[in-house]
Amino acid sequence: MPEIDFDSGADDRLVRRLRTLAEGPAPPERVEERVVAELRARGLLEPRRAWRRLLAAAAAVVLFAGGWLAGRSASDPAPAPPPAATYALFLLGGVEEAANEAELVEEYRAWAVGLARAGELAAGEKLGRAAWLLDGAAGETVLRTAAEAHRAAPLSGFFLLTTGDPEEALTIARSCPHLRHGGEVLLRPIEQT
Amino acid sequence: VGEARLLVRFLAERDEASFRRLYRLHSPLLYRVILRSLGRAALAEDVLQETWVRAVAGLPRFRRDSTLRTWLTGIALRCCHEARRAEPASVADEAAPAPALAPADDSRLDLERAVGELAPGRREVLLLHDVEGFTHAEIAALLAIDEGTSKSQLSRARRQVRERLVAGADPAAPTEVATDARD
Repeated sequence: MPEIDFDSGADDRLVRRLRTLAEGPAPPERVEERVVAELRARGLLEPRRAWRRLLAAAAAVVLFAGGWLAGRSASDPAPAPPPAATYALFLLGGVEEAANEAELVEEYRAWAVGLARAGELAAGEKLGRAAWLLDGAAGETVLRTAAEAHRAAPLSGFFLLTTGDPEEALTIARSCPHLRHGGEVLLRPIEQT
Repeated sequence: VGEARLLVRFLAERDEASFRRLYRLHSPLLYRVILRSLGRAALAEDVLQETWVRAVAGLPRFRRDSTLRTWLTGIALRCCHEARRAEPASVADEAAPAPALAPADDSRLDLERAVGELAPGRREVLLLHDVEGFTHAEIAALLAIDEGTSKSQLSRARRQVRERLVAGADPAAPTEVATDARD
């Protein structure tokens, strides 16, 4: 004869009541702000970087300028191919919070438009902050933030130049406004394959 | 955006928007567990904050062999245990006072009190299983006990809560009185 579990009915009723406790209480809203502030203070959240927004604006300008150049050549019977990129200009670090963001945007924009109109700029892109490190020895892919991957300064953007002259590329690199706003610039030749 | 994609995005970007979405997704559960484990709202807020700080710092090491919910709950419970050890005079008095609730909800307040009077170990098993829906296997991993211990702790906790409700003349208790009389 099976054993009758007299507890099971009482358990069911109790469990039904206990489940209602999952409806609350909720954490006060102020805790969310405290947590975010603490994570920022400990460097566990990326700071808002004004110059990332500047790069996005500059990249948009380059796209606009590229479109303008493409539009000009569209009337030709045989449109010329876009100039080949010969150097990549990497922007590292940069100003955290701009005192006058509008002025900074204009400075980057003017620089990028000037290069594009002179035919010395093929493209400019803002990079995401993700960095995937493929560690062959460990046999795994490690996902990191750019800040973690690039200990010194995160690689966050680049411009592709079209000049074929290394001295000219260096001159352009020296003229980049990023150098005047706490950033670093890395110039690398692009392999022509 | 699903939780998995949100997690990948936050790991990659460490951005505030993704974090806030993760926070809002999991904090209600974490806060309930912490508050009912410790019983004091001010301390529970501190422990919730510490839980998220540790979680975000340790997120690259999250191996996904459990759900994010379970992994976060484990961190929260460890923070609760540390808080209880750090404040022996007030928190580690075994019983946790009932969290603040709507004054009119007497029946629920009785239930909260009955749960709050359980010893911390039994209370955590009961809350995790019966309130938050964790399995015995998950609870065993979270509390570093075996599944048999989790089941026996749950059985004892339920019985103690029923007895407390009966002793407190809970309006919903008569049927339980009759049932308990046959134990």
